[in-house]
Amino acid sequence: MRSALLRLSAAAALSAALSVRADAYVEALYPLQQVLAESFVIAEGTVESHDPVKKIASVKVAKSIKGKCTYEVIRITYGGGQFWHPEAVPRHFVKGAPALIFYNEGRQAEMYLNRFFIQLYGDAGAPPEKAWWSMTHIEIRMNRTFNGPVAELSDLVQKVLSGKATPPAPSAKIPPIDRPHVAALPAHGEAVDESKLPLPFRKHDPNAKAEAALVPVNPEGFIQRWLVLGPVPLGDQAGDANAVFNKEWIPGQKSLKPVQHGKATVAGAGYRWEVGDSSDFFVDLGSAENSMNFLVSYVVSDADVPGAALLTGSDDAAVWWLNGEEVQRFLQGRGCAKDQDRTAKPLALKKGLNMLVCAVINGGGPTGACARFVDKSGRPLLKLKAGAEPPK
Amino acid sequence: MALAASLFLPSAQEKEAPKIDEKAGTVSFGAKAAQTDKYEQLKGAIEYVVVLPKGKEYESCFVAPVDPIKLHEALQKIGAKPGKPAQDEKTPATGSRLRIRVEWKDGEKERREPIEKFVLDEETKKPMENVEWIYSGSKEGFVPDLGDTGLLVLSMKNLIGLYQGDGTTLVTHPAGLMTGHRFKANKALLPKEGTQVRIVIEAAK
Repeated sequence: MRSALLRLSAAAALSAALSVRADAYVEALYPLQQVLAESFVIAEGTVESHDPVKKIASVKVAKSIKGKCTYEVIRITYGGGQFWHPEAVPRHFVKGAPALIFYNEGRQAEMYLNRFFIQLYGDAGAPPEKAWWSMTHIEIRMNRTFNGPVAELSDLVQKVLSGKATPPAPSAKIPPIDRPHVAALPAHGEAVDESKLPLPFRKHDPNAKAEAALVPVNPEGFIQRWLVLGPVPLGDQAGDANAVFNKEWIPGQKSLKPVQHGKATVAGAGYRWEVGDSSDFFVDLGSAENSMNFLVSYVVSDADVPGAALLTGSDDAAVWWLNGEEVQRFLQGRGCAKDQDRTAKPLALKKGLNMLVCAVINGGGPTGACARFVDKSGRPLLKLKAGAEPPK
Repeated sequence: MALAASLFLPSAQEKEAPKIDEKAGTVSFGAKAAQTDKYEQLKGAIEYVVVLPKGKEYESCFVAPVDPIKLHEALQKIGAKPGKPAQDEKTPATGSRLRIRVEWKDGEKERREPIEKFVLDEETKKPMENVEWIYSGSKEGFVPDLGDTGLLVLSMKNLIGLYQGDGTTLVTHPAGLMTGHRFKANKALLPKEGTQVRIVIEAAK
């Protein structure tokens, strides 16, 4: 019998919908491969016209790259976009600027314009010559999917679709886009010094080391820094979380003590440990379906804490080990939220170093996890520190 | 610069006028329960409670073919005053407070519930607390269907929102959240897709 996880992943695989949440930002790490797979049509064109007073623009479609774009012109209205976004995009609608559009059958779309994506939605029932696409917002985190020039993305997309290139993995290290970044980004036609681009638009150096030191837990006690390895493809195995968690994928996985950029072979493939910082209470692990990620955090306590509990959340199933012992296991599909599970038996946190290890399975959609320790009265342990390296 | 304005104007049948009961102080209009979980990747997240057809139906509880301009006028007739949409986190939405409920027939039984009950709060794991919604009024801008300036609810087609970050809705939630994934449809209460309901709005006293 198929588990809920497998049903979730099968539906995600069959769905023609983009994973973008129209209105909600794309928060999860979103691989370019996934964008391409979920696009019904990909087309390129150039900005043909722009009216900054009416907040409308048009992109003349030059060619279809995937599927057949039935629109000769993509007409965009951006006045209804969120917050500062309608004020930030106008200077990038430069006549002649290249643009790429990715859309699904429901006409949910992403347009790539001058190093950032904007989310659009159109009316699938409207005749192409009368259709308008409404911008909801700039995708402030999809710069992690790609953030180079439009021409580079177009070239890459065509090569990937023809099997001549492998799409890059998204880069979790690139910070989100904010208003000053878009304001400082040179518009099409202006001189570009790559080294002086605002950070969200600069290429990430995969060999540069991220900050790994211990940091305090957040004001609610949630661990903020991890080492992450994955995503490890599971295929059909994702449907049987119990079996996955009973298997040793990495030798000594319950007691891992990895280092940043340390290598590991899992199911015959090579991986590297990367630092992953939590955003608010949880760590974003991307959105690779039917996959698993490993998490490790070096947790340091300034005192022995007997009778503690570990409160965790995960999307989807997860198993947790503390100092080499399994303390929590959840086997179903769900979205990640605070304190979804609590360890049943009292835990003893040691003064000094404690190793927290987790494996999280993802069926489909975004995946992530969160954890905090509480004392026997249920109060969060706020003096803990946690990081991606042992204490010095 | 002249861009060809769309001549695509929805027909009269697609948008209905709301009903005003001045004695009861209510405005009401018909709607249907929306499809839930259309896209698995959203994991049930919603951002609106009521949208117009061709709005974000897959992120809403109900779809209502109501004329938003007539609704805007009707709300003012019952004494509610539109305020302003949120500018940012520091400048939240303003406007008269409204109570909104849903009425429908569940088998032979007539039911009514506050619209908040159709929304699950992921933080509390319970239906949303009762609130007084804010009649913020939609922000204005060029509306392609009109070829002129108008309320942007006409182009974005989302009527009652859960996050104030979308300033184009006519009504918004008072919590002041700008965006997020905190809310889901309460499938335990939401009637099955396509069920006819009535949305009833009154000014909070």
